[in-house]
Amino acid sequence: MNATLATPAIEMARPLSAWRREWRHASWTVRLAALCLTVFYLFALASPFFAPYDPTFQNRLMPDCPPMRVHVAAPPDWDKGLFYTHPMKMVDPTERRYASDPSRRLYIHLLSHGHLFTTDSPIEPFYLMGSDALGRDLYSRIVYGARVSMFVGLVGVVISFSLGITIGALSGYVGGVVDNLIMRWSEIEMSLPSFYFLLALAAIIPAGLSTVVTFFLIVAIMSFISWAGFARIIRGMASTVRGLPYVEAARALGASRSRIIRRHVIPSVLGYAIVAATLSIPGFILGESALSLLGLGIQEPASSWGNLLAAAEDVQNLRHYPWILIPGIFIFLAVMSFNFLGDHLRDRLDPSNAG
Amino acid sequence: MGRFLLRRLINMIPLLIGITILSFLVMSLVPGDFFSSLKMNPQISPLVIKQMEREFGLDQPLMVRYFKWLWSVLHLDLGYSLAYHVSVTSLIGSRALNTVILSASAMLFSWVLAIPIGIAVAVNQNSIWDRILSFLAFFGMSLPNFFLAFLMMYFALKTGWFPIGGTYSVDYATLDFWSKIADRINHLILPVFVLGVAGMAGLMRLMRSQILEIKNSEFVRTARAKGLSERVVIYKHVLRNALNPFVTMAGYSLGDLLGGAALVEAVMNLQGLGLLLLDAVRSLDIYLVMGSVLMGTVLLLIGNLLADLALVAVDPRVDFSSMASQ
Amino acid sequence: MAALLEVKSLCTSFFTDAGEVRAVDRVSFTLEPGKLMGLVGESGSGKTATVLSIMRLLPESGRVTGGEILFAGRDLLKVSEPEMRTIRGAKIAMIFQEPMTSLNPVFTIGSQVGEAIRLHQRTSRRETRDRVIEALRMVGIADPERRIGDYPHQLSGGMRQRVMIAMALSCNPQVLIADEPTTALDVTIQAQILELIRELQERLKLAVILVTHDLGIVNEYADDVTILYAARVMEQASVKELFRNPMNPYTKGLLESIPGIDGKPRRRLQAIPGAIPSALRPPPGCRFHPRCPIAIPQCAEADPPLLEKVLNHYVACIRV
Repeated sequence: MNATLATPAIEMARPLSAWRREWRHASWTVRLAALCLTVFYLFALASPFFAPYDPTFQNRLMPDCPPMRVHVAAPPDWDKGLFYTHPMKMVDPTERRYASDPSRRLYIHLLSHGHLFTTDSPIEPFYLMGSDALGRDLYSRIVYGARVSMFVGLVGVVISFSLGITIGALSGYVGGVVDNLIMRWSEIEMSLPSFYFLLALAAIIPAGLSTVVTFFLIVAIMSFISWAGFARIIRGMASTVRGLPYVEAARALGASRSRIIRRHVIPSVLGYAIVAATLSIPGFILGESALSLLGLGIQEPASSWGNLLAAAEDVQNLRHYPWILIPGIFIFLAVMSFNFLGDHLRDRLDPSNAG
Repeated sequence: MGRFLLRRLINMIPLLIGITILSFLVMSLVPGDFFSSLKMNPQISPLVIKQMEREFGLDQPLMVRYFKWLWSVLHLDLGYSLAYHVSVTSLIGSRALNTVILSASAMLFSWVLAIPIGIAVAVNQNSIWDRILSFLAFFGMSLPNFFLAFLMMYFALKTGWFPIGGTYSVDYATLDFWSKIADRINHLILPVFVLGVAGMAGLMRLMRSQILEIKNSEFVRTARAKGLSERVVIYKHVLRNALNPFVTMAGYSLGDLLGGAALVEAVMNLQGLGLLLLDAVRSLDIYLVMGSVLMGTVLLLIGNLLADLALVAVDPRVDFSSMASQ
Repeated sequence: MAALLEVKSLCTSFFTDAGEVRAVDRVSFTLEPGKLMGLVGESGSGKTATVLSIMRLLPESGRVTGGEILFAGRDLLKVSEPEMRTIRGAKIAMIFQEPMTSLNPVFTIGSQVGEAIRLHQRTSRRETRDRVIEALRMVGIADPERRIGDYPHQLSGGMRQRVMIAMALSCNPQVLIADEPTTALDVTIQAQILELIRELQERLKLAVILVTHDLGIVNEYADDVTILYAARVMEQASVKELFRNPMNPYTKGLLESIPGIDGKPRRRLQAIPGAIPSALRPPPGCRFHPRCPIAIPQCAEADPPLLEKVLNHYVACIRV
């Protein structure tokens, strides 16, 4: 425990070694989680690079095409490409059945045309995760969908935490009638069946808005529902800390109010806030996915991991083209990674959990 | 206890009023309404629409409409569904019952499995089973229930062992009483599993950490000092105390349960309150939306009340007077 | 008189991530029926670890690594766990420091006191009830017929400690171990509880180990005393002898840090300089030498043996 108390000064001096120490501290599950999230955020930040094709490009010749297998080329052929796949051809247009043509090779070019990997033309594409009913590359849509799905959590946490901290602090500071009113209001919000309310609120979002506006409206709605819990907790924690013996001792020693808040209240609430923030991100991701899945969130042709899953609502799609469930795996991985990370942070930041 | 119940019921009134105002405001913010889609339909004359609007009072100011609606709610009349052309009350009753059956079964399922597994892994802490099951619990907690619902639908499609969604079979009406029950149960298995998994994982982790914490507490040492066997110590002294936060937690998670149920209903096409609400939101059927939200809130409040009663029953330190003053 | 409980060079360690911590190091003492022995030391000196070793109730990280604990001629460290359970609570009972948290909050005190009786004496429900009431009355709880339905949170700290004592004595044990039974209580209640223990001890001819850090309590209530410092026994004697003739410099330091223990007003309270050493890396030789006013270089070389300097007065110090 003494070691963790001593770390901040060293961290300032050598940030790199601090990261490395954190990495060494982490279990393999936490490392995997961190890796997963890094990849997903890279997807979101550099979608055009990671996606081989335009996510809205519709290859009308190849709807509902299954994922294609990757083969490693023999060394002599490496000048044409390290990997290749056998191109698919539709053999049964009514059933949308495909067969690969083993006599032909479709080479996959790495780091060309500004993509991590791609083929010469989207007309003869390589579908890593198959295509949807309109012949769009599912993998590219997932990569672009990460923009919505990965940022909804971050933006949501920032908004609901700022709301929660401001209102919680205001409530605790002003006290009296204001405090009472705010707390009653938050009680009402918290006794609502939040998902029902989310559905009802989603009805406000008009159709035909741009994806960015829709995104922020969704985040705003979810923050509106979730600030109350944070506000109450922040208020409770602040008042607990205020009453702790060492804070009273500081006050008795004549420390100013702002110094007490800076030196004692914020640090002791901060660890909790970071953990709570990390653990509340999955809620936002799931909320957006659910809304988009139900057709109340991000609208086509834009993609989010939730609205990509909407295709599976049709039982026939699910039966014949099960790869449309792949976006769900991404949601699952993101949620699990944040859960692992939050759990790990809680153990690291809360000394009472260390033993 | 009677006084406690009365107080709690009185406390619910401002809460419910607040919620009705909130949902009414929300619905008034909705761009367009049910009639805007009717107006697009050339088959229906504008005159008819005007008449319908008047009938539903939609041409009156917001306040008037709210109080009219509130007045009828007090008479247990939740208004008229514009899309279904029946009263909202008659729609909601059976749907809410289905949701309650689904949620309660899922809760029962998660409790029945979470408690013994939680005990078993805590008693064998750091064993290989503890590690595997704790990891699986994390897995289960992180698995979005709508995704699990899709996976189970796929499972049902591929194996044919279970019906593919729905509340009952097509020939339900022709079945005799027991076959009807069997049919309903058959349709419930997968949804209950889907909805129960997340709760089960969370509760199992809670049970495990509770037992591990309480195992080292001083009153447990006292119990051991009496010469009690480890089994009695765990199953009597530790377990009884571990149940308290369990009950509290169950109360808190009711809202999530209801939300989860709505999603599972939507994905698996179950005729519950959540799906009803979703359809109402999609077709902007205002009174149905508000009725469903209100009904959901009432269900949640009743659930919380039951959880509080259960807490009083398991924890002697909590009594009705301390509960009421909260 | 023959010894009832004899602890012979007991060693107990805790195994932590940082390494092995010797909490009890070759501690020996004997306990006779009808005697009250004070086990004195600062916090961390190994008092609680010693008595938990006797009860075999050490936490999971702790283990007895050597020595013998002879109770009525049998080594408690060698009996099986089921057999130990017939001794625990029935023959050797224990009360703990925190009466607030040592009772299970969700069971009535009647059921908690009755649990041990039913277990060890196989009494019927009605008989158990009568015995519980009797036990509660013995420890001075008024109206025990009504109190048996109370939950711990409905009682004050002093009452809870009385319940603990009733629970411990309900099966007529031969040895009672009281681990700082009054530390968490108000001063006035402290005296009541200690009087009660002393009175019951004399009446029931109990052998009592009273763990405390308070030499004043020892002076007033104990017959014999064992002084622990950093897992080692420093001095052992009857209370009269020890207070009349303290020999170990540590004991002397302790006595000087207590106001007017022998009735004589002191001009100035003396504090022992320095702090209790790390149990993980204890100093070599005598554990006390870094703080000892009369230490010589040889003190750091070898651990001083516990020797009988005067009849029945044992001291571990090469300087006396």
